[in-house]
Formats: sequence, structure tokens, C-alpha cells
Amino acid sequence: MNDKKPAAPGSPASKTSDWAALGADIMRLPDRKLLQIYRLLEQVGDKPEVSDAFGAMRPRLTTLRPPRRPALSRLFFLPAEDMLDDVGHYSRRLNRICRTTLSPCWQAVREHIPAALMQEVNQEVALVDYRDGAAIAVLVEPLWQAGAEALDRVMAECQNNLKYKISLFGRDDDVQRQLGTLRQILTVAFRIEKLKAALPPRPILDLAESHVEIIRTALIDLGKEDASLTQPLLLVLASRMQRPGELLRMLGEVRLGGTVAEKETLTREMSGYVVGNLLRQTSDFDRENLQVQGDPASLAAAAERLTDGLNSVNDTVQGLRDKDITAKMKNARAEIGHFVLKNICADVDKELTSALFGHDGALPSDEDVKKAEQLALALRRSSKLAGPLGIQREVTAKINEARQQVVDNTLAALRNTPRNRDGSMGADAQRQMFNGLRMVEILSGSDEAERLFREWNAQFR
Amino acid sequence: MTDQGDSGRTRKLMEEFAPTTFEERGVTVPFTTPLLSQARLRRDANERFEFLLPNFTAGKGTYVLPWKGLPNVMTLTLHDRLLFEEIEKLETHSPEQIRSCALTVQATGVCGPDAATRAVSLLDQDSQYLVLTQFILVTELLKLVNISAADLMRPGMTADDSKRVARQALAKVAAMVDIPPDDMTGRVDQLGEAVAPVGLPQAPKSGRLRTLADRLQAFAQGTQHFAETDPSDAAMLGTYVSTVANHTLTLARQRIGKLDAACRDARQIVNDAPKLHKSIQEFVARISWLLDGWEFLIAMWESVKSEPSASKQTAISDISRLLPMIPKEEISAATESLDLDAIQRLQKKWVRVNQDWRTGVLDMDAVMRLESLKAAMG
Repeated sequence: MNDKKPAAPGSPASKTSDWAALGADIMRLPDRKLLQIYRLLEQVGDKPEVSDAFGAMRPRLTTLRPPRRPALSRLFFLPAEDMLDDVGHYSRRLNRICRTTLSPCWQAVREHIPAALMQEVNQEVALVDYRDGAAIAVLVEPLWQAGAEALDRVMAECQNNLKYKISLFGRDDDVQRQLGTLRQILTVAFRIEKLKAALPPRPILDLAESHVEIIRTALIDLGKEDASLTQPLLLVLASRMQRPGELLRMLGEVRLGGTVAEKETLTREMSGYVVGNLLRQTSDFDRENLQVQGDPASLAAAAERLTDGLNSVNDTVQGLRDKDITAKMKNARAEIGHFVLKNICADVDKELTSALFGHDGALPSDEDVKKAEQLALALRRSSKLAGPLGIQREVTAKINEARQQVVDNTLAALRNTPRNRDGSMGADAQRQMFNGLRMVEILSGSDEAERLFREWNAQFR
Repeated sequence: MTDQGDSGRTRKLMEEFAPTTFEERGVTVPFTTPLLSQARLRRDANERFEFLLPNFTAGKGTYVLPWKGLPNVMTLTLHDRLLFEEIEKLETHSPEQIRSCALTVQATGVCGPDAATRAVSLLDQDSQYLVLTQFILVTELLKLVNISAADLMRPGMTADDSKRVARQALAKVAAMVDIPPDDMTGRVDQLGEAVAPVGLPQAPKSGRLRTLADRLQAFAQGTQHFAETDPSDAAMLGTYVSTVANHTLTLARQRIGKLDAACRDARQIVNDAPKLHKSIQEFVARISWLLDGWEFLIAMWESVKSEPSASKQTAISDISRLLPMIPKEEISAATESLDLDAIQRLQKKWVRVNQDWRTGVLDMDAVMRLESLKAAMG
């Protein structure tokens, strides 16, 4: 999928690496310090070098989610935020945009936007809550409109002036495609942001009836104006959904303006994008990179998200009757399955036992119990995926193994923990018993946990 | 069929089906099985337990199911099975008793370490607050024989000295009505237990239900603000929620005022303790029933305080479906200005379409979200 990465733009290599190195250094700091430095860096403003530091910090920032000052460039690219990929994950010909394109693009575009307009937007935005997506959309709309026109001029200049293009974006022609996607998104930027503000935050897991209605209305309204305008909106929306297949189904049911052939083309293109985007994310899974590092619970959640996404597009893929895509889907499932077995299931039982019982007979801390819970949850999530991924036998065996270890260790702890004078279970033993039962409940269900509770209660009361 | 006609019919239906008494409304049980969340427990005509399940149909009505039928319909968490066993042992089922049962089960760790720590701390706070309440009652009694709290804590006095002085003074008070000193202590203990959930107005720290009323006020203000500023049609649900919250708050504050008035004169403890005890019990029970179920809703709202508006819209929709209905005898004109039909339509609109309970498998993520709310509840 990721055949060739675009070259990093512009700025001197040494300077860039200094900022990136600073970003990497910051990553070693505790959360509070990292956020302090993040706020200071934000005040430096929209320098390309600073974005290298942000790039290095991004994985932590994704987790910490600090409030972000809405810099003008960030607001400008806001409608396209779901289409952005880091350089290591960018795939060509998929309507995605590489983050390295943004800085030179903004540098070029801002030259064509009236300074007074930028200043006005900046001032107005400073007065509202940046989390109020609907208000931000209203205030920034003039910038997006002017930006779309400005981007037209930049793209035309790139076509006509090779030197100009190379100085901004290098020699890679793929940039032109990325700018085209951005241009499409900017055309309907206001509608995109309004829609985002009315829907649940990404990844969108569950849609309420009202949400479905809002999406339908937005598509129909846009379709009436020009059916092709629905595409950028659909691209963004599909990128925000955990089960983008549902959007494709919805698209099939909605009557957009335009001809039947136009609708078919749109559906085919969207299906291609949705499937391609899921495969792209899946292909990142088999790489040994930073994005797939993390605790088993979040890895399992990521695997679940992708499997869920792949399952949701099953019907669409079958409808496409494309052997190549069908084979790729099969491979993608195999890759996720391999990932789950290797990164989640491999040592989870040992880690769980160590978190819960590795304290020389003493009770585990609350943090240890929570860690054990997360490990058990990761295994449970994996079992939900096991069927579609074809790894049911291995995951079931691992769950049984983990459950047996919890039961054996809990029994040992109950036997070894001193009882009360009347022979009843002491407070520590009770806590140990409930810790064990909780893990069994997560791994094997409440009926099994209740059975063990009755058994242990009778044995050790 | 006009809107007005629909509205009128819905209101009539609501009045028809509104519970007559709090007992008929049922007491909220903090279960962790998602479909049982905020289920209300009551007894049917044959004195068997039944549950009213507001979450079961996701906005399309409230299901009533007997306890025995539940395991056939859904998988219950171990916590819920154990909690129900404890509830079955109770003779009566007031919100206070259910709370105490729930905290005891929660403290075992069966629903996670955070919820357990919280339960232990709340049980500890309850017992400390009881001691404080009883101490204040004693100091009020001592004032009748001209001894102040300062007299019990003079410089150089040990704890034993203070206790001795207090005992002597209480004996003097007991002598006023010619009863043994121990009986007077017993009265203080009993009254303290009765009033402690709300607390005395002169206490340095508010009691639990008094604090909950304050939190309900903040909740009503927060949801009203949401109603005024949210651009979506969920704003109407915000108005509905804040109206019911304000209505409940008004009623709760009235009862708290009456309770405070009843406790104001310490001479009643001496002269007519049984009557005072009875009226305190009644006021506290009424306050407790009025506020039953709100703590969870407040925790739900607080959990999305800093979240984007979409999360708040979903939360307000969930909250609107779980609102504790005020029984007929308490219904005032407050809700009559609302278009109840439109509210019902909106509630259905905001239900998530992907929720599926038919598999019967427990959604552990949803269970854990409920457990984390338990850990956040005061």
C-alpha cells in the first residue's frame, strides 16, 4: 500500500532534526511537564520547525488531549483533519493528505488571502470556546472560502511554474493530488464542520436516529446543489466512523441529485476509499512502528476497531466483485489475527497473574488490580474478534489458560491467608477472592464467576 | 390529530401512569448490568419483587419485569446477583436501606477497586457524620443546663474529663424529665441516627442529602444553561430535565426547611422525644425518596462536563429517560408548560441505533462505565 513517501518539505535538515529531537526529549517527561512545554511551544506560533516537535509529541498528545489554541493554520485545515496522515503512514491515491504537505501549503495559500480577513478571523475566534465546533464553523467560514480560491491559484501556479512547485513541495507530483483533495474539502468546509459538531466525537461508534437524520439531510441538501459536493463530506465522515460500511449502506439508500450513473460512480469511489483506508490502517499493523505500541487493552481496542470496520464493509466488497480487493480483505484479516495473537494474547496470562498475585502473598494495589482488569479485558475483546479473524481456537485456549491461572492462584491465596478467629474468611482473603472473581467474570462471564463464588464461599467461610 | 390533542393525551397518560406514592414509583437500585442501570425495585400486588426498567426499551416506555424473569432475558453481573441477595434479606426497602446494601456489596471489590475504595470511604464518612450529629445534639441538650461545647474542651481537660463533664450534664438534663441518664443517651443516639442522612443545619459540614440537594441545584442550573445554549433539538430535553430537577429541588428544600424547624428546639428531645423522632424520620424519609435516583444522574452529567456538545446531547437524552418521576400527590403545575409529546419524540430520536441487547452477552465496557460512575458518586 504505502509505495513511496513524499519528501519532507523545505526547511534546513539540521534545524528540523533539532526540533524533532527536542520533541523526542520531551516525550520522556511526565504528563504535567509535557503539557507545560506543549503550551509554551504553542505560543511560538506556526513555525514549520515547531510542527516537527509537535509531530514527535503527537502520540502522547493524542492520549492527553490538551486544549489546543486554535492557530489560524490549524483552523484552516480543521475540516481536513480526519484525512491527515503522518509521513510514515501516508498512502498515495487514496484521497488522503500527508501532514508534511500542510506547512508549505499554508505558507503558499496565506499569500493569497487578505491579511485583514485573517486578522479578523483570528480575533473573533479568540473570543469563543474553541470546543464549540458550530461557532467556530461560522467564524472561520470566510477563511475557508478565501482559502479555496487561494488554493486554486497555488495549484494553477504549481502547474505553470515548476520552480515554484519544487520550492514549496519538492518534485513529487502526488502533492498535486493532495491539494486537490484539500480543495474539495474546503469547498464544503462549513458543512463538514457543522456536521462534525452535530455528531458524536470520532471514532463514531453508535449513531442515534437523530444523527442518521442529520447525515441524510446534509447529503440530500448538498446533492441538490451538486452531487459531486457530497464526496468530500462523505470522505471526512467515513474517516470518522468506526464502521464506515454503515455510511456506504446509507449512501445506497439516499436519493442524491444528479444522474444514476453519477450516483454509481460516487458509490464505487467511496467504497474504494473506505476499503482502501481500512486496508491502509491494517497494513500499518504488521509494521514494527510506534503507532502499534501500547498497553494490550488499547492494542485490542485498535484491533477491534479495524475488524469492526472490515466487517462493516463486507457487503460492499462482495457487491464490488473485485477479486483483488477480496483477497486484500482476507489478508488484512489474517494480519490483524496475527497481530492479536502476537501482541495481545502471547503473554497476557503471565502478566495478569503477575499483576494480581505477584506480591509475595500481599494484596495487590488498586493500580495492579486495574492493570489486571485491562489485561483481562484485552483478552475478552480478542475473543470477540476471534471468529471473524479465524483465531478462535488459539484465543479460547489462552482464555482458559488465563482463567485457570487466576483460579489456582486465588485458591492458593485463600488457603494461605489467615482466617478470623471464628474460622471465617478474613478481610484480605475476601478482597483477594473478589479480585479473582472479577477477573473470571471478565474472562469467562458472570455465571462462572457466581459458580466459583458459591464454591469458595462454602469452602472458606 | 393536533399537536395540542397529542400533548393533552400524553399528559393524561402520564398522569394516569404516574405512581401514586413513592413506594409505587419504586426505589432506585444501582445495578451495573447496563440494561438494569437505574432500575426501580418495588413489590407487586402479591408482594413479589418486580423491576421497572427504563433502559430496556431505550426510550420507548418502561418495562416491568419480575426478578425471577430477569436472568432469562439478560446476563446479570456478579455484583447485581450479590446485591439482590442482600436486598432480599431486607424487610423494608427505603432508599437509605438500598444505599447501605449497595455500598456493602460495592466495598467487597466485586465491581472494581475504585468503586470499592469509594464505598469504604462513604461508609466511613457516614459513621463519622453520625458521631458528629450525635455530638451536636448533645451540645444542644447541654445548653439547656447552661453548659456549652467550650465547657467540654477547656484547656488542660483530657478526653476523659470532657466525657465526665458531658455525662454529668446529661444526667442533669435527664433529671429534668425524671428519666435515667442512659435513656437520655439512647434518645440522642436514636435521633442522631434518624437525622444524620440530612444533618443538622448548625453542623459545620452539610449532611449527605443536604449536599445532594445543593448538587441538584448546580445540576439544574447546568442543564438549564445547556438548554439555553445548545443549538440542537436536545436543548428541549435540557429544559425538561432542568424543570423536573428544579421541581424536585423545591420540594426537597421545603422538607429540609421543615426538618430544620423541627430540630431547632432541643427541649423537644427532653419533653417529647418519640414525637420528634417520628417526625424527623418522616421528613428524612420523604427527602430521601425525593432525591432517590438523582445522584447517578448528576454523576452522569458531571462526567460529560468537559466533553464536546455531542456527548452532552447524548447524556441529556439518557438522563431524560431516567428522570425520577414525581408521584401524583407531589405533581404540581411545573411540568404542565412542557410539550410532553415532543419530549417523548426527541427521546426516541436520540437513542443509539446500534445498541443490541438480544445477544444476552454482557458488554463489559458498558458495565465498567457504570462502575466508574459508582466510583464518582458522592
